[in-house]
Amino acid sequence: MSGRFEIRVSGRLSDRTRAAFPGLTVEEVPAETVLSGWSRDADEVHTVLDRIQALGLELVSLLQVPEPPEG
Amino acid sequence: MVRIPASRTVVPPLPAWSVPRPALRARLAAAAAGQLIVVIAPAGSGKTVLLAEWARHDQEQHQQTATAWVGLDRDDADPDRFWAAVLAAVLAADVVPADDPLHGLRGRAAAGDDIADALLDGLDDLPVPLRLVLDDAHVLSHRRSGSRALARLVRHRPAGVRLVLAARSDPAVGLPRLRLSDGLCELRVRDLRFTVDEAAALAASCGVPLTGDEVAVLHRRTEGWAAGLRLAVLALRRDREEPGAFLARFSGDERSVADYLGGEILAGLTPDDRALLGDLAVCGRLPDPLAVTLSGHPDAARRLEELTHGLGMVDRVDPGTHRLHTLVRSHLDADLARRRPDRHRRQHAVAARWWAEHAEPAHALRHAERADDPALTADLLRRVAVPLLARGELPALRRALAGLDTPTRRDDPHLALIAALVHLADREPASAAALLRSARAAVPARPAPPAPPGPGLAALRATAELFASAAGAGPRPSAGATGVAVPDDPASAGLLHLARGTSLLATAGAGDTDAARAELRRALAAARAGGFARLEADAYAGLALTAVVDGDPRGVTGPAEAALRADRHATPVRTAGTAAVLAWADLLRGDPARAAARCAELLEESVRLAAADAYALRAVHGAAVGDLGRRGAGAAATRAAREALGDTALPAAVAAALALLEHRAALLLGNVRAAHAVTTWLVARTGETDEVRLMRAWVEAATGRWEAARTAVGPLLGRDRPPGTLRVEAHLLAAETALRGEDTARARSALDAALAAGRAHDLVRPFALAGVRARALLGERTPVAGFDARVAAVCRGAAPEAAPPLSERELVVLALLPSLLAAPAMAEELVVSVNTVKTQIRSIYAKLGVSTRRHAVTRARERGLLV
Repeated sequence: MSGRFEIRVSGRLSDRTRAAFPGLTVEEVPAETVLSGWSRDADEVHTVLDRIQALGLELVSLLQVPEPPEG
Repeated sequence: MVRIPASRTVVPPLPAWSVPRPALRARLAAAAAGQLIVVIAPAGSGKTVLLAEWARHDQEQHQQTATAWVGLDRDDADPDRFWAAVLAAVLAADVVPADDPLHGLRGRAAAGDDIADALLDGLDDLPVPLRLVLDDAHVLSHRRSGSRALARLVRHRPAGVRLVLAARSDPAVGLPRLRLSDGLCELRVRDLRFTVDEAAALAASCGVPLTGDEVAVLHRRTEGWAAGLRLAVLALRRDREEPGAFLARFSGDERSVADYLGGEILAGLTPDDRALLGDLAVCGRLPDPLAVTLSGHPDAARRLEELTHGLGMVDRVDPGTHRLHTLVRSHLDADLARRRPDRHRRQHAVAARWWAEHAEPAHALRHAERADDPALTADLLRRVAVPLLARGELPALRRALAGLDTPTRRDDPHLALIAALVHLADREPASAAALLRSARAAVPARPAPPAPPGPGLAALRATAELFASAAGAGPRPSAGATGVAVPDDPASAGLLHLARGTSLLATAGAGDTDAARAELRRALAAARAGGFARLEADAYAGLALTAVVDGDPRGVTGPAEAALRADRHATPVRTAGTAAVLAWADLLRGDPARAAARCAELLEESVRLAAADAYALRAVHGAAVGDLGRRGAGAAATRAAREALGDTALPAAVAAALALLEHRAALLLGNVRAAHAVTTWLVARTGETDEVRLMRAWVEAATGRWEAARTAVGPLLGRDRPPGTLRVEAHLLAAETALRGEDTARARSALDAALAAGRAHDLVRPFALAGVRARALLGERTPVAGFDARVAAVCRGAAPEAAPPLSERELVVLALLPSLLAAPAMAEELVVSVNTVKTQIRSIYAKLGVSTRRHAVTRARERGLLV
């Protein structure tokens, strides 16, 4: 998959953990954190998912957002 | 065969803090024979510990069932490694009788699939029950070949073997189907959650006694997640503080459990340990010398060993290699990235250089990317790109190139050439051509110190230009490109030889394949010497193509099958060209069913094939379908495929071979106009070749002008080294014209010549499609075995009678048949007499073998005479 994606994990993230996702936008919503960004291919999304697993974060959802790139 | 370290095939030791889980063990033990057991839950849920506990418990109870254990890693997605790992685990279980054939497999240098067959058979016959645990099975799913190998093992679950998979996500082995047929025993995250009592036991076993309320808080906050519980207990033990205060903070925090606990663990480390582990956290696997290089401490290995025995944050995976606990490592890595981003990048750069020097180029490139250091990536690419290309590790190259900005990629001739070669390997000639132009512009007029474009760069440039020209994306290669000195390193040399061979083949006709063949053999030798899988596959594919140029289907089969073997883990998109060549050989060797099946298998997969490959597959498929009896459909599909090809480049010999198939199919349908269109297409691509002359002679014969056919085919008979196909076809046509001229003696000698050439190349199909009289004469012979017998058999068989072609006048009348015009109106339209029209209509019906106007229209449409 390529394009914009949005990943939700449960709980809030410390600055330390946010640092593990350079290049992604990190937003807090009640009880969850939304990581979003652009991917060129499925491999990049997998890399992010691997890192989420490695950090022990609980994945809530993964969405591909149908939206053309800005600019 | 791949060597599998013993550490990966032992049942892991139970950690000191583990809590016995008899209820889960009982559920595992209760699984019915033949059921697949899967334990699927996120990292840190206690999958491995549970399965290890089960195995050890049974062992202590002297249960009959022994356990074979494989801890899988990402590299095992390569089927060779996967099957080797499974075999190693089975043998390590120490229950296979000494005389069992399974032992013999260990020393065999066979490929994965051969090992798989023998291994599955051997397991079926195993006299003792065995439990086979594949831990971390999710790592296989990042490659299609890994999933396929696992699915195969699941499908063929050997009788006496209890198969157990532990994974973070559902493996693609058809779980829903197994569930429906009651073939599945599943434990999932909800089953693996620790109960409150288990949580209390875990804390107690770590020396942290908690009250009932405290346990309840801990359990609620972690939701029974094993790793969370453990980290929390670790943090409690480290701090030696009042558990109540810690738990109050923990339960009041909104952060993710792992995030919070990661912070607690890091805060509890001594500054020295934290600095050391932080420096090492950029790498998952840490060979001791790498640990020393990364940390700058000569005694890093000793300190890791101490930490291994202390808190369980470090594991020793084999003597001389450690691994940080994944969760702890990830938090340490994130911590370093935030607090000291420069240091974090520097550590990745150090790791990149270290792996580059230790023969792990793909690994090195990934670290360079994380180091965010384009100069380092560029430097590494210049050093390792050629071996990566030769091995076929294109994803790593694509990723690394994508990380560089466009000017860097374009203005450095070395990088531009590498990028061009990646595009050519991906069959994107247009992108490659643009980069080649940049590379030419960027090469300095005078070599500028300190990095003059040395022999390496010259060879790389020649390689890229030769490939590009063969792909139709560049001018004919200059003399400099063909004559450049061959570099010393095997990867560069092998690629250059392959490029020369490919370039020669693009324009070669029969009789000048020797040079191409010699280059390809050199490429093959280099591939074998260096263990370069992709180069090996490409060299074999080139040799198969050489045989097509020689019109020699027998010569195709060996190298084409070797190419597919060497490339067996590649996607069908990549191997489609070779599959088409192999199908062409099947067809010409007289096996249309096999040819059709081979093509259909690829055409039915929903993959985007390269244009040239799609055309070749469809053209061969169309011809094969025609031979199997559906001539009209086959011919229509072939023509559509050729029209879809557009002006995509195709080696001249391939264009000729495929055009001959389509031309022949058109004539068999009596469609002379379609045959002419094929000839025109081929002339535009290759000029006036002997294949074109053969086509013209065929048309003369098809329209009954036997004398003209004899004259046209005459020059083709005396050629010095014609392609095998052309030689056989020319002699067969000569035989038919001789028979029409009642010259039996000349016909027999022509048939003998055709048979001799056919035998040499195993060309059966031309005989099946030969003229009626030549076929009759061949069918009279009664050889008992071998090639001549096969030819006699196809000649006696119900061979397709070529449909008589319609004359130009008849085609004009035919065009009016779908209309509702009656014969008098048609006569008026065509300005001829009604009788003439009626005569022509009768003749059309006879030639099409029909008796009504409606059937005539249907049949004419089938044959492509009406559109």
